[in-house]
Amino acid sequence: MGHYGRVVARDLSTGTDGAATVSGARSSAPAGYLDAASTAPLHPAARDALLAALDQGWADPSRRYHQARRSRILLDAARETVAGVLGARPDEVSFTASGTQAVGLGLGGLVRGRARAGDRVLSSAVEHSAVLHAATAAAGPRAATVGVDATGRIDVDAAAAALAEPGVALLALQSANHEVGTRQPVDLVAALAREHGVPLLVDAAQSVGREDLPRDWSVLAASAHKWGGPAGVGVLAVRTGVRWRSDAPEGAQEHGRVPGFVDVPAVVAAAAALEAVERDRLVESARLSALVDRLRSRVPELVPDTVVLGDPVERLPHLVTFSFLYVDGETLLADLDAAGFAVSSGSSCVSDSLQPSHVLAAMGALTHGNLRVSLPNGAATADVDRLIDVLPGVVARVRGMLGTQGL
Amino acid sequence: MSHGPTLPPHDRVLDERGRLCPLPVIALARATVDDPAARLLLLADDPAAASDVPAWCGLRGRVLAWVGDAPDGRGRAYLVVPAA
Repeated sequence: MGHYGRVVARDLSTGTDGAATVSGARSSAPAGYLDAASTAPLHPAARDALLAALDQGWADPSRRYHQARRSRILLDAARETVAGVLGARPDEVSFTASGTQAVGLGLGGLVRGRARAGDRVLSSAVEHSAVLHAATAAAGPRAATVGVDATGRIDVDAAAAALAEPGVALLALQSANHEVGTRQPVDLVAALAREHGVPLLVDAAQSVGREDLPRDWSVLAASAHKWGGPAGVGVLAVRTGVRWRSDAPEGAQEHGRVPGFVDVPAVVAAAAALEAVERDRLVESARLSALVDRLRSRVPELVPDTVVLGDPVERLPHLVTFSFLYVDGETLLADLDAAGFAVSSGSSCVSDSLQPSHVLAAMGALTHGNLRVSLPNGAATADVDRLIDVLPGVVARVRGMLGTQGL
Repeated sequence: MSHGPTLPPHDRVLDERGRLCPLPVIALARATVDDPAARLLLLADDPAAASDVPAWCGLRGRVLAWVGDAPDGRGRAYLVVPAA
């Protein structure tokens, strides 16, 4: 157990009536919930820590009385835990109100810090919409994307060419793609960016708690609800020495990087979840990756005209995406929901905008009949096997409604 | 032919405007089965068609030979032809 675990366990065990079991709680996923990439169920360790920290960590951690010191101890311990997982120093790590806010502040701070170097903001074309929106908000028409191959991996030659142009403020590259799971060559691209003196922003939202994280970045952003923490906690890490300038008012919280009062209980819960998830990570990720391999091999055998998307090897351990030819994604999700499965889709008929996923479009992939399966920690093997059993019939039914036999 | 001079030669027009994915691609597939040699001009305003028509061509061994605006400016036109 790390330093944070000791502090919280001691504080929580003395401060609440019920025994707060911060360690030892294992996550078990709700039956049929296969949409962890949207949000993970709250980890039991996070729930315990949250309830205890609501009592222990409510005071303003910047004040000088004993309640404040207790909040400060909890917050510092949480920061140390998260920093350890990210491979960062605690003073490099700030907590935000969401992953989206972390991305926005991280990207905006780099743009301001690089004002004299340039104003062009580069992103891979398959970044999360939070990154693309932040890039457009910060750089307007000077925001540009770098293309990807058919698996969703950034075109490294195109990235090198774009970095060599004058006036680049930063490059944003995710650790791994949230829709198809493909890992990005972050270390390679980071080395290219360094050659040109361009800072790299890494959105690690899908990777934290799931796999080894890239270490070579200027700014990193993540989101606690993706790893089993509560919603409302993002992580912004800024490497020491990086030219990053806040637009927060003087006296802002979290090393001057984030406006607003930090939610100490939620942050404590997020750190407790991360600590618990990290403890089991190697074993659990290997188990989930084997289940993903099973889906990747069995589904196209059982369902004709299935396209399996993303890199088969260089991928997130817990995520796989299919496109089923001639299938309406909305009906597919409804049928799977009726069969007890919570899954998601990048098909346009499922989006509010009626636009297909920009990720699938950038890959040149079939966008209709799209199905993303992302396994929460603790996902039952039986759920995956039942999905494999159910999918052929569901897809055949949807295709039958559209009369696509023989096409 | 009633279309403007910018359209390439084609045998049949499939007007799938107003219909959403996967219907335009299904219409394309059906017309291809009816006449595998036909040069098909698909009109579609579903934004997914921009991705799905070339993806379908790849899956079924057809060639997306030309893409442009639909003749009256409503949606896009996709010319799909047999592989050479």
